[in-house]
Amino acid sequence: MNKLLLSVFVLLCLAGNAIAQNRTVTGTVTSQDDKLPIPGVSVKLIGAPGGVVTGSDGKYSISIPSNVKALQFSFIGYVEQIEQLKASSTLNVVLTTDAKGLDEVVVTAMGQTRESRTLGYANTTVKSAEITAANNVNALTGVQGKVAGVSISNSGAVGGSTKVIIRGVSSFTGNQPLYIVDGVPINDNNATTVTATRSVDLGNQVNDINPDDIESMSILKGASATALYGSRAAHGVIMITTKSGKMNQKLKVTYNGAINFSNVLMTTQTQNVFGQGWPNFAFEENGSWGPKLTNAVQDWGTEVDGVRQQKPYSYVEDNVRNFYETGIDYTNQLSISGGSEHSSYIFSYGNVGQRGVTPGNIDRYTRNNFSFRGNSTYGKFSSSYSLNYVRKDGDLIYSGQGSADGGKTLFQELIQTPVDINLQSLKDYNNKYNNYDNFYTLYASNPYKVILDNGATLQDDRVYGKVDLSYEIAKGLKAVGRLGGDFSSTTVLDKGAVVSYTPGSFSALNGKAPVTGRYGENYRKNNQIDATFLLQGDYKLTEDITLNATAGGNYNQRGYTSLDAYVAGLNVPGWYSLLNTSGTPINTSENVRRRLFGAFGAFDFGYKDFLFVNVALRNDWSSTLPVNGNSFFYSGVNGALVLTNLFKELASEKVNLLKVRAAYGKTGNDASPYLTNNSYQNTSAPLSSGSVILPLNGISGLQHNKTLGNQTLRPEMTTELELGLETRFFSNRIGLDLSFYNRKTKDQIISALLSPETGYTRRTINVGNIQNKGIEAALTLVPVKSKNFEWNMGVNFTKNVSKVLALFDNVKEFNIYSAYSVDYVAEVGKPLGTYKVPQVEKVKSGPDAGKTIVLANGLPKIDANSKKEVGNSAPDFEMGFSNRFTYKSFSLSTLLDWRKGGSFYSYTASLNYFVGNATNTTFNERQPFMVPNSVKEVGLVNGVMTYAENTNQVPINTINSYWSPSSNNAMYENTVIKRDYIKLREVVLTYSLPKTIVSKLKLQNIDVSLVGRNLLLFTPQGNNFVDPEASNFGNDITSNFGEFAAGPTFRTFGGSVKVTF
Amino acid sequence: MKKIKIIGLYATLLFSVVACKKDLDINRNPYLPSEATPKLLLPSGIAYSASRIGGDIQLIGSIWSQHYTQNNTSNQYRSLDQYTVGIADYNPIWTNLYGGALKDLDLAKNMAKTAGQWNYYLPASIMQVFDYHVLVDLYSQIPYTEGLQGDANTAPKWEEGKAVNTKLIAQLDDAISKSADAIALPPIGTEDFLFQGDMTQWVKFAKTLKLKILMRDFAANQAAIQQLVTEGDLLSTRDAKMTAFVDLENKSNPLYEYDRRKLNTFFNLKASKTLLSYLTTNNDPRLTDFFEKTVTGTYLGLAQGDFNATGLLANQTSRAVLAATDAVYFTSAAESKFLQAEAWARIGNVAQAKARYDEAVTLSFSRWSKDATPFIAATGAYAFKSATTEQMIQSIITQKWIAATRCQAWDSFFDQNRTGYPVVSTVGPTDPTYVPGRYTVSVNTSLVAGELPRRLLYPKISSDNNVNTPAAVSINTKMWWHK
Repeated sequence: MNKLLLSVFVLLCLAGNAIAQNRTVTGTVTSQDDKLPIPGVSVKLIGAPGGVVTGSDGKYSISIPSNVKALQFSFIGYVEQIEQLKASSTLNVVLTTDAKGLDEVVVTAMGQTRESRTLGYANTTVKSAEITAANNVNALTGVQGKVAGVSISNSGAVGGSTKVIIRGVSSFTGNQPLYIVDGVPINDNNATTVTATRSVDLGNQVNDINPDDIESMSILKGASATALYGSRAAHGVIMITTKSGKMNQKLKVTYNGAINFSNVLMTTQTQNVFGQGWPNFAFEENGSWGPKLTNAVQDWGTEVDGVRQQKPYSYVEDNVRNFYETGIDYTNQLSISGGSEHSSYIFSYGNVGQRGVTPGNIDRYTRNNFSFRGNSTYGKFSSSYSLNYVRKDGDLIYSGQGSADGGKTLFQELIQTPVDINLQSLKDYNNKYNNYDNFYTLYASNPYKVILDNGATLQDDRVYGKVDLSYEIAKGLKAVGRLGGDFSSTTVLDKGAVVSYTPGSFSALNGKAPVTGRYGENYRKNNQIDATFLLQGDYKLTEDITLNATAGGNYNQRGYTSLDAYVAGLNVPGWYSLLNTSGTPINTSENVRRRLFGAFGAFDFGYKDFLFVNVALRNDWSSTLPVNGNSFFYSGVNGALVLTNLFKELASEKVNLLKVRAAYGKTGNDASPYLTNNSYQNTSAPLSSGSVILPLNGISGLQHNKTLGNQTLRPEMTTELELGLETRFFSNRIGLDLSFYNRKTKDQIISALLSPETGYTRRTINVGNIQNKGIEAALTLVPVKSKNFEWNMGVNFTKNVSKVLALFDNVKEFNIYSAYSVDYVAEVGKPLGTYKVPQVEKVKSGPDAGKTIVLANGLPKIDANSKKEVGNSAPDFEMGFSNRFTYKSFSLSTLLDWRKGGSFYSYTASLNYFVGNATNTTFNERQPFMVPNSVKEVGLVNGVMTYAENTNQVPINTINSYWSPSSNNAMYENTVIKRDYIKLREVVLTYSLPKTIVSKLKLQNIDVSLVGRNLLLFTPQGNNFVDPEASNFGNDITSNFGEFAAGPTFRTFGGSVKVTF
Repeated sequence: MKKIKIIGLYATLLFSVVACKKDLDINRNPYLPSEATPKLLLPSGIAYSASRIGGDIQLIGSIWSQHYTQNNTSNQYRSLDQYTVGIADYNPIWTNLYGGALKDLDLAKNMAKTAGQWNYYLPASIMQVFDYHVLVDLYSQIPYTEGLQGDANTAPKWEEGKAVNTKLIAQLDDAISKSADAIALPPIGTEDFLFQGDMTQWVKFAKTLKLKILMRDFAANQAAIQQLVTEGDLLSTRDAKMTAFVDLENKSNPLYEYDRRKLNTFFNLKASKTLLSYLTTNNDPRLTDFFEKTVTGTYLGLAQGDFNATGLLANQTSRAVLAATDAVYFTSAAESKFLQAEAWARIGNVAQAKARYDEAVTLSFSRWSKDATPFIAATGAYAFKSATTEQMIQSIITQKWIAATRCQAWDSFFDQNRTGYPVVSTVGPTDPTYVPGRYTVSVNTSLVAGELPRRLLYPKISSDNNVNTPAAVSINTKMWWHK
């Protein structure tokens, strides 16, 4: 496909015609790589004007004037070659690829191909080998740490979401890039509902793409680069080009199989001094606030039939780690490709299976991808098409706090296990001591049983594809029509088992809340239709100026329908049906649609071979904006100046490329659907937990929608200035690509809080102005390059600094998300996403000013009026270090990923403090102490509070209250912890079997690899709780907030074999 | 030729974009109606009112009125029992009363007014006043005149409680003035969760409410009060309450739904020694309606706020009795009688005061199918003490405090603030000189010695978004009508 387009491009660029002729030389141009013919190679006469282009079979035929002695063969991506003419009338040529050449071809907006040196903005292309090297089950994790300016993380759960943030977060909702596959946008919905009680990560749809189908991935970061793609591209574009068959290629079969084993990467380090109790030793407690561990054998747990079990009162090493088992994932990839004179095709099948580390066969995920792609060319007409079917099945476990109807969740139960109770001793959940009746604590449930009782089942079918037709209307003018469709259907079943206790049993007597049981069904259908029509012309305006112009229109319709029904409280345990209730199911249904029309134009000017200017213009009309204000226009301009071409004398063996870039662009972004009008809905009055839902006794009701619609909504606009420098030295052995950008996004569309006394709690408005400034640098080095040995290094560096420049009205702070008393806010003048926690109240004036006020119970008084800022979620910088040694047929590559700075909220930390498992809680041996530098309140004198030196200790049985954020809110500060990490992301050792052996097997290629992913993780002091990448808050801005009893991430070892037949 | 083709293509493109303008007008959720009627908005407004007044306001009232206290082996409501409720706690009261109940009622009221549906106008307006009255007594100042206007006024001015009360009286008078018109219309049905369309009861409810608000300042309103109690058109048999709850998830009494169905332990609310000691001392038969027996078959309470007590398992102390089908009381007939008794007592008419008091105690016993006769007899434990006005008030408010249990606990909190009854004990409940039924300061109080909470703090959800929200006032600051 690439080569085909390139050939058209080259053909169009060629000027001049054959002149007088003497003799004819014919031949075939093939690639050294795959020995296949290359169509579209430019064959030029040296010493005379004129030239031809090789046909689809790589053959050419050229008339040679008498004065011509040599031919020049050139093709984008290959080393230019000059061949002296000999007597023979046949001249076959083999071209070698230009690995890191100046002529790297990249895909740009609207599916065009350009030489990278002509681009006026930063563009990074990641090739298939890099993406699939480490057997990642989804494509984007294969790019993690490899591209400057692109921050990628994966939630860790099987089938879990991948978050991709390009050049920082700039929007309050929807910061994910637009994904374009072979010129057509695909959906990237994420059906995950983020709740603190019970959530399961259903993954985002870009994870559906089979990594093995990908030929390359180009990442467009700046506004100027993405302007042409319209409002959905405001947060960058990731353009994926899939592998294609080649014309005139015999049947080619490849197989790629991999198997990996995984274990838990990081578990919380717990204190090892104090054991079960709260604050005295108690059999039924779920925390470690008890006495010091003695190692003595003693009674523990509940008394059943008058007897308790015995165990040593000692610390259990690696308790949580040992709870988990070894996970496994495998991939099988098969592709069959071939081509005839006019067409080529590729069929691929991908099969991925994952089993998580939870004991038993509980968390599982499988994905099957079928894809058929092809293209044809007949004269002026060419076409390409693809059809993909993806099927996903998953059994998933819940994270969060658990609920009264759905039951407990695993991670929560693991965290609150006293450090002296061996989790594995609970494995036999039918044992009379371990069952629900007599489980040792009233406040938690047996984790081994919880995972069996509660879970979700996912089933997803998706079909997406496209048809792309193009016709050459006239020389240099082409009409292209593209139609893409993406349809998926998701079913999620949600089960929570009934838990009841035998009357008279320990749990029943002590009032442990039973679980009433829950069953839910959710059906969701996503759809997208995208049609683009465009005209593309290549013109040579003068001898020196070329123009490539594109103009066209785009229609896009997206939407989803969903039906969700659940019953809370099952009549009959174990029967999961919407009929199994004494009430009625709670139903919600949604039907969301949006349409967008776009008209666009792009003009690429080239002056000689050193100045390139691109202008892009686009106007969108969106259904999500008010009918009378739904049109918005934006544009981008960028230029590239290749200094080494402008001043030829600069160019040498040592200096290969010097290029400067500048780009300025603007992109608009529309709203989410249904934000412009007011409406009513069925009455559901929320309680602190639960609701009062009408109808009651047959009386139904309607409540006004508490969010005010907005008839003056405007689109969100991003403007960005980008400057860049691209250099290559010493035969391309050293390359440095630097970018600086300053991006301002204003008029973000948010659902802003309204003081409820207005009768509404939110209103949809345009707010703010957020700045993201940053530097991106990518350095490539080839320190050693010899016949047998090559050493490649790469370093990429990203620094993004965000700043909230303005919000709305007089509002200086906007709350993005909260968990307990930790707020995640946008505050004017601060980076986007700062954390605010309760703080102790200090004496404001007088002789004791600045001292902490302590309450009668020894705990500090909490300032009721203001909170304290404790860092923000953005890292100071991110760096990726890649290294590859290639020796003969061996290659060893490693990738190190370093994120410095930033904070995140950790409920895991919070809960560890609450239950006394956090290492910090052993402070002062848990002996009574006094809050330092403190005073106590004495009373009001003439309306002014007087103070005295504090004499109130934190007594021994209040130590737990001191550390627990819920009873001493100042401790919420401890739940915002450092986000820094260093990860050894990938280690891949590959061996390509010698051709001699391979050919004996009648095969073309066999590569064998050993792979390790996330082998090492370093977190700073202050985070001995959880992998900062773990999140169960989906994959957008709220996931930057942190985690809420998220599942663990994994370390993976494995191997793969790749065979080409 | 080529040019014509190009122009043709562009023209087609342009045309299709223009023609499609209509196709972009799809931005309405097909599942959500854009119109509503009073018939649908009134029950919504009442249900929203009940969700908060019968939910967290009842919870706060129950703990601060020392009916209940936080269980020692769990910790859901500690902040209430140690008086550390912050500006961000219990914000949903504000959110759902203003953003839910009051606005729905306002919409219903305005639609009903336009359409002359006075039988909807009356209940919607009276219910609104009721919600405002609870808010003003909880927060001391609230937005009234400038509220509920959406983005026409995003920063409504707050008004002093005294001024709000005057406006509430006016709103009640306006509603009452429409009663003849309302009664003349065909009756509305069960969408009136309180009185099933009985407009005469709504009028009684309005007048009782008016009496209650006037009683915040007896001296200033004596004439109006005397007129109301003399006329006597006040709640006397029927309670203003919502009874539609059933024992199903999300359909139950709000406090029950939250405390018993949704928390991971339903043992949080325990008998406070303050109330329990009073009931047991007086052998009050309602004990069984308010508290459960412990595992040993006895009754045991915790000292108010003693959530760090050790050595007592959850089943060794008495839990508060709650039921899924418990009504949410707005104003009970008993409360109406207690109010009247207090008014007569302050007017100085002892006979009327005693008569209303006896009726009130009888009603509050019969609510639980118990007989009050022996208690109000001259020798009974709850006999009306009428030697002085203060004695009468103490008798009335003390009995009102018992009657408020599992009913209108928040109202008892207001009454204690207003009258100082029950008296605050100077010793703890374990002290031999402790008098049963006297308030004790929480064992784990965060306040200066002897202080009790008097109000909720101005909610953060408002102060963050409304520049006119008053500056913070501490939780133990008394209001103008507090004693």
